[in-house]
Amino acid sequence: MKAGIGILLWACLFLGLTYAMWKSIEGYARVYLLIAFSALFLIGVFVLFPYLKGQ
Amino acid sequence: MLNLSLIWELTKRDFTEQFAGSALGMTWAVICPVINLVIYTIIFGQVMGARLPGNSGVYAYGVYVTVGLVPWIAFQNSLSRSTSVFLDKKAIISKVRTSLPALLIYISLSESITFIITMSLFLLFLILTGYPFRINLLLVPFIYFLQQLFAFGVGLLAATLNVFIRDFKQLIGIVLQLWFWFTPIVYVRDILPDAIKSLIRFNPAYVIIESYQRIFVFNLEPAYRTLIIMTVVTHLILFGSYAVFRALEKDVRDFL
Repeated sequence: MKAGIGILLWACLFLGLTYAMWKSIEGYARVYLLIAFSALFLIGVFVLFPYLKGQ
Repeated sequence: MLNLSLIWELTKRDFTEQFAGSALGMTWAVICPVINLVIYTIIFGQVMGARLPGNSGVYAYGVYVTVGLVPWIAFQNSLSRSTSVFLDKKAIISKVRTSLPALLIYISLSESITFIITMSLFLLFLILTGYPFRINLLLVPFIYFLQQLFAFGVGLLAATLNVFIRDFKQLIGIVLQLWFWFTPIVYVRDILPDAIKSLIRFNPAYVIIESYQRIFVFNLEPAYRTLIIMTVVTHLILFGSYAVFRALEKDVRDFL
């Protein structure tokens, strides 16, 4: 249960951050930032999920 | 730059076009996955008596095949269709000023609709057969997201190169056929010779498909470390593909 809520909050945080980044940055740099955000998001999921499950 | 309404319109059109003109219309979007699931689970498991080694369950092999084939079909279609998208949508590209990589998004979205419908029906089947649900199932959307990002990265590179070298579309078709048989989807990894077994760990499709199989069939944790490595590799490919695309974008538009 804790893992499910944790992942949901993590997803909401990243959705918010990505939206804010997308709006504030112009040009092609934001595509590279989007790729970096997506990598951080997924790595976070695969690190947080087993950690929260073990709690 | 990123025309969201155009992407959504293309996605809707792409999905509904498959059933346009048929008497049953969108009902086919449900009938086709149901038929596929019946073949994988009931025909393979009950009629043909296929069993998974070490698991005597009637539906075990069917579940194994389903959780491998359904994501594979989404991946294969996304990649093969992405390869020719710039040429297929030449008319739109020349009329509407839009981001070219955005055209790959509608393919991924359209394939995702089919994936969601099939997986929803599959989950219904699992509920009806008393499947014990575990919290690891929550990881499925993230593994699917990673899989589609990988298809997007390779697809963007292939789509860019396909504008200049038209043989790329045929090449991707052949690679996908070989790739399918090099990935344990309809067979189990244990039947492979040791030399191939050690090589298969480097197959990105295997990393993804094995994660689904571990979650759905074996009730195990996915290999988190491998998934993190796969995430890094996927994003490096995305980064590289986009850099190549940016370098060639002007030429791509001129060629089209």
